[in-house]
Amino acid sequence: MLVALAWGVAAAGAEAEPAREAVPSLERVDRELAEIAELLDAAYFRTALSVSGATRELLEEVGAQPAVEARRARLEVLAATAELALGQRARARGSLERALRAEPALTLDASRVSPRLVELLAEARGRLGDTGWRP
Amino acid sequence: MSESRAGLAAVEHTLVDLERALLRDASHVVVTGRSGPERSLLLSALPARLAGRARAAVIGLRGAEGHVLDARILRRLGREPGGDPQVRLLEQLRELAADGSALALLVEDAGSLSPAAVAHLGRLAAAAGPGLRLALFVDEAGADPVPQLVSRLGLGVQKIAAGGAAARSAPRRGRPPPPAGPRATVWVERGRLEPRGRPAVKALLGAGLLLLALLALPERLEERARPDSRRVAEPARQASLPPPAAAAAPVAPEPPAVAAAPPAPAIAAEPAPSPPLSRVSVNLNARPWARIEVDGRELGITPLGGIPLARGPHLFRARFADGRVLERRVTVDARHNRITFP
Repeated sequence: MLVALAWGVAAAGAEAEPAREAVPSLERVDRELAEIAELLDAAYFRTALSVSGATRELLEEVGAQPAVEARRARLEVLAATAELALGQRARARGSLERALRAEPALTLDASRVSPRLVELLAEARGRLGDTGWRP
Repeated sequence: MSESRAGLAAVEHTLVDLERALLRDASHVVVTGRSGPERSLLLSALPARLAGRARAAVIGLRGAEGHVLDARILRRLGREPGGDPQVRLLEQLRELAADGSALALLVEDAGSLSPAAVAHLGRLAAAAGPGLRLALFVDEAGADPVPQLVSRLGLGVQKIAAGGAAARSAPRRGRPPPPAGPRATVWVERGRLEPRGRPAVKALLGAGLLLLALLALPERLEERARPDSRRVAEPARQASLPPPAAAAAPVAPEPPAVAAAPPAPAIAAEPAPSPPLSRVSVNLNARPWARIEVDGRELGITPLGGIPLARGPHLFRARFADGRVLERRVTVDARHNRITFP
């Protein structure tokens, strides 16, 4: 009986898929966020936007964790930066609205971040308020 | 940053190979490499690269088998998988093929798929005809899983070498010769994706830059990602072009509305108009932000993307909020189209 059980376990192990990352780690998300920031610095706006999309999916896979929301806000700000650069103002505002939903107290350092983005964040906050959304 | 650029150059090489294989050769592709930022970048950039000529969907197949896989692909196509998902999916793929398009299914982490899932993909690809193209990404770590994967798919193996078409027919040593016909699997090895900073990446960068110079391939990833960038005809006469300062305005279109949910990244990125080949679409950024002038004319506040400028020398000036002014004279062309300050 034990031999049969051991055989069954061994056979199941042989059929099992190789080990893989069940849930993406926050470290992986952080690496991707750093990559997006680098791409933006180097003015690869469209590529940064593409990577942002993949990172957004990655965050969905990570699931609900307290540490996720801050990263989600950062991701959306990065995406908004790329969208603003590409003239996609409405999309950029949408990204900032998602950033605010993730982190309602979000502010941007006006000395470092483009005034266009700071202005858009205020606009996004106002629109969210108009819809009755509360943190 | 230079390492990052090396990584981008490596990704660019692989993108060129993949684009050729999936669109021109209508092939299936197995890409070997390691997971990491470059692979993520490749998977993100490839759909935009194929946009307008093929739909592309990145599929994470964790635990997916048979009809689950079919249903997931259908949802990616915006279709409800009612009834028999495989039948519905095949109908969709044939419709796409009839429209002159196709679905390029970009399978992440294909090396960890179960044999049954891989066999299912192979059968699906064979049944769908030109409506489905597979790009399967396999990690290199551990034993080489590619021969097993390819044999399970039931598709042939062909290798792309750095020399291009002349070397295309050379079979890999110790492997069966490539089968005739467009449905062979292309086994991309040249654009191996290595972690940044490794010597292999640096060697690849040198070889890659040389190859780019020889082939005169546009180096800019984003420009190549635009679906119509290769379809714009070169104007007959350069002399008919307006002066550079007359073209200092962003051209990327404003999308119609804000989506409540972010756009699905797996489907092709929004098309953006490309400037004529005699012009170059230039991106500018500064850290911290700055007001940018080109040839004495103010463009606006960074970040600025898609600024159409005539090829040739331009004087870029960045005025920072703290009063600093930096100038840079750059001869813009397809390779020098991103200007950053400082």
